[in-house]
Parts: sequence; structure tokens; C-alpha cells
Amino acid sequence: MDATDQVEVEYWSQADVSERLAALTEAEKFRIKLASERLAYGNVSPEDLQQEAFRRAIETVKPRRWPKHITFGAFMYGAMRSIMDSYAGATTRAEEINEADGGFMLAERPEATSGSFEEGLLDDETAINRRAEILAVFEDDNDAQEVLEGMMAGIRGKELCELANLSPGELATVRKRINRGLAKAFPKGWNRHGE
Amino acid sequence: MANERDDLIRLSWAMAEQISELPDEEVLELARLGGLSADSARQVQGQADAALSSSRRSKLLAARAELDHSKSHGVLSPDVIDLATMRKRLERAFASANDGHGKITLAARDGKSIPDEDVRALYEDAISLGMIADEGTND
Repeated sequence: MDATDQVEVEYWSQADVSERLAALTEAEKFRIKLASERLAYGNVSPEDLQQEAFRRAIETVKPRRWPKHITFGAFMYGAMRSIMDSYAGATTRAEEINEADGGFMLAERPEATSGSFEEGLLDDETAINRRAEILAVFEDDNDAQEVLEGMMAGIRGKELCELANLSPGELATVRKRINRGLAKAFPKGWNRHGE
Repeated sequence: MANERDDLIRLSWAMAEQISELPDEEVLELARLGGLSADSARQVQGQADAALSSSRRSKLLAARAELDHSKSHGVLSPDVIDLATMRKRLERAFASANDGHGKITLAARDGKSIPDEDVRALYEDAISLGMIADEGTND
């Protein structure tokens, strides 16, 4: 890409972001709730994660800026994901997100709320059981199981289609079944104790 | 870290990313299937409101600190709202609150008789009461 191909990223102002946060739609609230339930783990609660993401979006000094070309949902996902990456120390993954969402800065690791992040992680036995329980939700659905295995291995998009031998349209349908099945079986996600 | 734990986290990332891109009606359907209630939605708005309040407080404290600094150095930074702007905004806010009925007044001659220090305090009170938006620049 040469200089003439570069498109300048435009951002919503802080006032726009504040206005949006002050009047979230019902779908936006549920979208944030559902995403935070899945993203939070270790000693980070979904509520901690939401609050930290909101705070970073509107803080005065070095806020996390919302590029106009991405949706509000994707902006909040990026914020929450970046926070979790900073907890886990996964800086490489966070940098990938930064690049993808228009140059967000790498988040600093926030103060732990209770105990250490590592203490809140699932123990080995629980993790093994949870993994099996997730697959068992789709015991009669081979396509869903294959897609789940691929997602657990970090495979996405075209590669996931190839792995599960599905067209993009079929993959979308299977993903919908997975979303619904897991929303029902694991409404609070699967990465925290006591869920 | 156990491989299974990594697997679960990668699955969560992917699922959350998908949720961030779903149409509204699909999100509402997932919320229904997961038993999320109006209380869940209120909780999220509560977190957003708390962050907004905290941000407003921080801005006010920063403005106060800047004002104190400017006063102690005998200069006003261009970022600090000048008294004329404060008076102007107060006039507008009070005029709007009056709604033409003269219930609230800003003292004689549109507040011009009020000492400068009182204008600052009044201005901050008006921001706290939501009568004036917390804008950190001059008009």
C-alpha cells in the first residue's frame, strides 16, 4: 500500500460517545451483557469488564477512540477484549486487535478487584469437564461439533469452512445454532467458577 | 495453562466477536434464550451511567485544579472558561429555567453585580444540577 491508498480514520467525538452511552438501546445493553459474560474470566467479573470498557471510552486522558467505520458493538467488543488481553498479558493478541479496529492503543492492565487474576482461572479438571459439556450440548449435531472444535483451535473464516466442509452460508447457519444452544446451556459463559 | 482452558477462552473470544456483529433481533433472541431480564439491561446502563458520572467529576476536578493553578500564577489558560463566558451561559441557563415566568433570577443586571468568585461557584453548581453542560472551552 502506498501513501495514496491510505484512508484517514475518522473517529466519533467524546461527546458523541458520551451521548451514546447515556442512552443505550435495549439491544446494545444485551449485546454488551452477552459479550462481557463470554469475555470475562480469571478474577474479572462481567460487570468489572463493562465498567472498565465504558470508562476507557470516555476518559479524558488518552481515551479509547471509536472509529466511525466500526459499529458500536464492535467498538465495545474491542475495548473489552483489549482489557482482558491486558489482564492475561497477551500483548500480541491485543496488538492484532489494535490494528484491526483502527489503531486503538494497548490497554494497561487494570487493578485486580479480588484476589489475583490467575487464582480466578478454572482448574484443569473443571476446564476439561466444561469443554466436554459444551460439545455434549451438540451431541446430535456433527457440523456444530466440528465448528466448535475449530473455533476452540482459533480457526476462523474460510479455514473454518474448509475444516467443517461447509459453505459460508452453511457455516453461518451452524454458528446460529451454536450461539443459541450455548446461550441456553451457558447463559453466563463457561470460563468462570460457579457458572 | 491447560490446553482445555485455552480452548474455552478461544471459543469465548470467537463467540463474543460474533455477538458484536449480530443483528439486533438476533441479540434479543439470545438474551431471551439466556434468561436475561430487564434488570440485566438496567445493570448495563447503570455501569455506563456510573462511568459518565465519574468522567464528569474528573473533568470538574481537572477544571478546578487548572483554575487554581491559573489563579496562583496570575494567568488564565485558554482552556479555562473565562468569567464572561460563565456569565453568558448562566444567563442562558437561568433564562431557560425561567421559561418566561421570572421564577429564578440571576440577581440584578443579568448577574453583572455578582462577584467573580460567586459566579464561579454558581457556574459549578449549575453544572452539578445539569442546568449547564460541562463544556471546558470558551464560547
